[in-house]
Amino acid sequence: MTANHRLSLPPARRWCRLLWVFWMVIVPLIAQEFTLLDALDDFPRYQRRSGISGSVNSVGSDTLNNLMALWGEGFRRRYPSVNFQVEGKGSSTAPPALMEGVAQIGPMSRLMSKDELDAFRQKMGFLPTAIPVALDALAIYVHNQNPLVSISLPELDAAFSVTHRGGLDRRLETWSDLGVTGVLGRYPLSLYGRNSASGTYGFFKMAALFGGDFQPRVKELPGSAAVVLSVSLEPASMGYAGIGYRAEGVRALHVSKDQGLPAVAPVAHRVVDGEYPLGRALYIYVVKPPSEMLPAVVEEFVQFILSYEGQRIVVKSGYIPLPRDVANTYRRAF
Amino acid sequence: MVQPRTSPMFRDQLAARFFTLGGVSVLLSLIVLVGFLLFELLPLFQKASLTFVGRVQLAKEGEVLLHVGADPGLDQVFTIDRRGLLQCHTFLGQDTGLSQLDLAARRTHVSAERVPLVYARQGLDDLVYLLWADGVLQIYRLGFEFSRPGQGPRRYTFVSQSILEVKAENNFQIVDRFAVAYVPRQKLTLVQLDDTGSVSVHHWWLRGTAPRSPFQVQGEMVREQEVVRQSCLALPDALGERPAAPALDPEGRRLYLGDGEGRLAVWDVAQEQAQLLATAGVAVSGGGVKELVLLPGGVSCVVVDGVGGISVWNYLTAGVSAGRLVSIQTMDRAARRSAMVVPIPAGKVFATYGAGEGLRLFSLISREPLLRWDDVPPLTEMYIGQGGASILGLTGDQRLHVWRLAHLQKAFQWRSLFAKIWYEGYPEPSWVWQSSSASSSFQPKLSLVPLIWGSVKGAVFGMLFSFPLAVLCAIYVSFLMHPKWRLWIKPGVELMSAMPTVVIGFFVAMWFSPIVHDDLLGLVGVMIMFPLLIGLALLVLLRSKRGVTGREFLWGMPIFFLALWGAFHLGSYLESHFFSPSFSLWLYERFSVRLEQRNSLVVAFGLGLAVIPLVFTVTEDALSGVPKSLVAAATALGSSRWQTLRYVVLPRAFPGMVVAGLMGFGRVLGETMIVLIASGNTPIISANPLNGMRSLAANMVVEISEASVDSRLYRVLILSAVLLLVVTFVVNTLAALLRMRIKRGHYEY
Repeated sequence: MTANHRLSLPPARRWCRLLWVFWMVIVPLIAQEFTLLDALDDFPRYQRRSGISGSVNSVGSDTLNNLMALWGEGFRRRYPSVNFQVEGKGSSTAPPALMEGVAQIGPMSRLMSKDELDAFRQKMGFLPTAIPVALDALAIYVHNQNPLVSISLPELDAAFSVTHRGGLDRRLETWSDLGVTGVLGRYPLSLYGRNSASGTYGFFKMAALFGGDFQPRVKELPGSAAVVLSVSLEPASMGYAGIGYRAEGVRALHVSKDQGLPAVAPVAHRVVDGEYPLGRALYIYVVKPPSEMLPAVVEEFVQFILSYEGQRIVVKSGYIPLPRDVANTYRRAF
Repeated sequence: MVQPRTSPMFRDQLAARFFTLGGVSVLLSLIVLVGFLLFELLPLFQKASLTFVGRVQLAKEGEVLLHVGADPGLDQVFTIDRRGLLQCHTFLGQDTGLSQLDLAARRTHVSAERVPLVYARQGLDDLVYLLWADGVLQIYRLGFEFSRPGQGPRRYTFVSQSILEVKAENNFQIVDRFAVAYVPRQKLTLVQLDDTGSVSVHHWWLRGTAPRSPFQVQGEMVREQEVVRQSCLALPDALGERPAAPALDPEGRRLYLGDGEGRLAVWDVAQEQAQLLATAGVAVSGGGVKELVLLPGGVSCVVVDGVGGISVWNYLTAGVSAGRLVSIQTMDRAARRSAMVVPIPAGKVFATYGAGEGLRLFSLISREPLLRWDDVPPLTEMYIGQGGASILGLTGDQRLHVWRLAHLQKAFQWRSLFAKIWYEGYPEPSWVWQSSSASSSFQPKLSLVPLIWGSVKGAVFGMLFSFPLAVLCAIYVSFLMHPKWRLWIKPGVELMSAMPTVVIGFFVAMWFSPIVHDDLLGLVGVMIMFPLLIGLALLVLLRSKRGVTGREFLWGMPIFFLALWGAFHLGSYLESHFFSPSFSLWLYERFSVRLEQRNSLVVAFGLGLAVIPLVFTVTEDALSGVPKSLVAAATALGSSRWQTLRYVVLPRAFPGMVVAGLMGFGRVLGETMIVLIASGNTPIISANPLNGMRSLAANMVVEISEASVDSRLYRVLILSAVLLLVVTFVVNTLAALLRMRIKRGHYEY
C-alpha cells in the first residue's frame, strides 16, 4: 500500500502541520495581485481637498470589515481631523444603523432585500443609495490532489442543497458522481461553507442553490479562512469562500452556468465582464435624500474609495477592483 | 503606638455589610438577567391579529371592478374597473382627494375604439398585470409610497409607474383564465386557457437596454428594457376535459394546470418547448380543481377542489419522490363549500374565504388555521392590501370590507419548534434548522430538536470520554500518590482549566480533526486504551501485596505512553492493511457510515480537555473528604488497599463523584467555543459519533448577528438561551444540593 493511495499527508508532515497551516493562512497569492495592480494604473489619483472634517461611522458587513478599516486608515492619513469608526457584524446590521442615523455608511456584501428597502422607505421617505466599491468572486475550492477541473451550477446545487432546484435530480453522494475516477471517486463528498450570518452564505444560497436550502450536512464554519483550511486538510472535501482567501493546498474550480456550457475560471477579468457565475459586487450604502448633497466628509470618503488609492487597497485585500468606467460613473455621480 | 480610629467590631460589621451588599447585588443582577430574558420571550405568545376596520362603497351599479388595492396605513384604496379607469378613494367615505387615472389613454398600442380591460392581477412587488381585450398586456407598478410631499407631514401617496407594455399577436382569445409571470430584463410570460382545454403560452424575451453588469443597483429598476423576441407555444392537450385553473411560477418556468376531473399537471414551459413534468390527482375531497394559487416563491401550489377541500402541493426535485407532485399539507376545513384563496405576500400564509365559514388564515406548517373571522358578509372577490397589511373583501353591491392584518411576521407557532414539518420543496417531513436566506420568499425553518439533540450528544460524548479518565486519575492521586507529589499535581491539573476554550477549540479543530480523519482506528484505539490502561495500572497497584511508594507513576508513565503509541500504530497498521485504502472508506462502503472530519469524537476530546480539571478536582475532593479515621480503621482491621477503596472509600465518596459528573455535565452542556469551532455546526439528528452536530449554545453565536431585533429568529434564539439556562440551572442546583448534603453528612464522624 503506497502512501498516495491513502489520500492523506505523509506521517512526517502531520507533526509540522500546525506550522504548515499557519503558513497557508498568512501566505497570500501574490501573482494575481500584480496584474490587478497594473490594471489600476489609469485610475485617477485622489486629490485631497481642504476643509474636510467631522466624523464617519460605518456599520455593516463583516466581509467588508477589513476593507473599511484600511480605507478608513488611508482616509485618516489624508484628513487627520476626521473621526472614523468601523463596526462589522454582518450585512443585515447596516440598514437599521443607516435608518437610525447611527452610521453614515453601511457596507453590505449584498444588495438590500425588498423588506429592508421597504422599511427604509417607510422610515425615510426615499431609497438608500448603493455604491459598488469592489468585486468579489466566490470560489469553489477543492484539495490540490483532486483531479476535478470544473463544476456546473446544477452540480453544485445537487451537491450542496437538499432541494435540488437546479434541475439535476440525481443526488451527488460520492466524487465519482462528479466524474472523478480512482480512489477519490469512492469517497463521499465532504462539504464546507460559511455560517449563516455571513453575506457569503446568503449569496451562495441564491446563486448556486437557486434560492433553495442547504443540506444539514454542510459544515458551517465561522470564517472563510477556516473553510479553505479545512478543505486543504481533507482530500475528499469541497467548500466555498471568497477568492481572496485562496491559499496553498487548495485549488479553485472553474464554474459553468449550466451543464454543457463552458466553465469559467474565477479570475478578475471574467468576474468584471460578468462571465463568472459566482461573481458579486460589494457595496456601501449611503443616505442621500433626493435633491440634497451628501455630507462633504462622506462624499470625500466615497471619492477616496473609488480612486486609485482606494482601489489599490481593494487589490491588496484580495478582492477585485471595480472596472474603470464603473468607478468613473459613480465618482462623477456625487 | 497609634490607636486605630475605628474599633475592630466596627470594621467587622463594615466588612459584613460590604459582603452582604455584594451578594445581594449579584443575586439582583441575576434576577434582572432572568427577568430580561423572560420579558424578551413574552412576545412569543403574541398572536397575529385580524381586526375589522370598516367598509366603503366603491363604485356605482353596473361598474365592474377588476382590482382593488389599499395602502398599508388603511387611509386610501384604489380600484380598477373594466373600462380601464383607475380611481383613488380616501377610505371611510370621505370624498376628498378623489383622483382618477385613465389607463386606457396611457396605452402605447393605440386603438380606434375603446378596448375593455379583461383581467387585472397583483404580482410581486406591487406590480399589477393588466390584460386588455385586444391582447395588450401592461405591467404597472401601482401602490402607495410613504413620503413627505412639500413640507407637510409624511403620508401615503399614490404612485403609478408604467413598466412594460406588450401585445400578444397570435392565438389571443378573451378568456378570463390567465396567468402572468415577469422577470425584469429577462422574460415575460402569459398563459391563457380556453374552454376547449387548449393552453397557449406567450413568451416575451426582454433585454435591459442599459449595459448589463454583475452589479445591478436598485432604484432605477426596470424601465429601460426592450422586447428582443416573442414566441408562442400551444400545449399538447395531455390534460383531461375542462381545464379549470392555471398558475405560473414567478420565473415563468413551471406552469400548473388543474382540470375538472381533479388532476393537477406541472409543465416546464421555460423554453420554446413545453414538457410535461408530472400529474397527480389532487382533489382531496372530490370534484374538480376549482382554483390554483401559488404562494410567494412559486414552490407551493394551493389547490381548492370542487367541494372546498384545500391542500398544498409541491413538485419535488429532490429525494425519493423527485419528479412527482406531493401534498405537503391538507388544511382542516369544516365547510363543504367552495372557497376563495389569496396568498399573502409576506411569509407562507394564505387567506381563504368560504360562504358560511368566514375568513381563515392558514400557514403552510399547520392544518389548523392561524386566524379566523366568522362574521363575514357574502364576498364576491378578495384582495390583499399593500404589504400584506390588510384583507379586502368585495361584496356583490360593490362595498369593500376591510380587515387589518397585524403581527403576522411575529406570530409564532410552537408547533414549528418541536414537530416534524414538511417544508416547501423538502423530500419529506423533518426537523430542520435553517434560519435565514437572502431571499424574501424564504420559509424559515426553526426546529429546536436538532439543536437540543446536538447539545445532548456533545455533552454525552464529552462526558463518556472525560469522566472515567478524570475519576480514575483522581483515585490514583488521592489514594495512591505520594502527598509531596499530590501537592503539585492537583493545582497543576486545576491550572489546566484556566486554558481559554477558544484555544482548546482551535487546537482540536486544526490539529486533532485531521488525525481523526486519517487515522481513525489508531485514535479510537488510543481513546479506549487511555482509561483502560489507567484502570489497569490502578488495579495492579491496589492489588499488589508490595508496598506502594506513591512515585510509581514516574516510571509508569513512559510505559504508559509507549503503550498508547503502540495502540495508535496498531490501529494505523490495521487500517492500512485490512481496510484498504482507508477505514473511513470501508465504513462508508460497507455500512454507508460517513466519517466527517468535524465529528463528535473531536468535540468530545475538546470538551474532555475543558472539563477534566473540574471533574478531577471535585472527585478528588470527595475522595480526600472521606475521613482518615475510616481509612485507618479499615487498614487496622486488615483490609487490603483494594478492599479499603472498594468497601470504605468509594461508597463514602460516591455521592461526591455523582456531583462531579453532574457539574461536568452542566459545564459541557453550556460549552460554546469548542463546539462552535470543532463541530462543523451541522444541524443533523444522528447518534453516530463520527458525524458532527450543532449545539444550542454554538447556534446562538452563529445566528445572533443575523437576527434582527424583534424578529422571530431573535425570539427563538432567546428561547433557546432560556432553555439552556434552565437545564444547566437544574443540573447545577442538583449538584449543589447533593454537595451540601454530603458536607453535612461528614460531620457525623
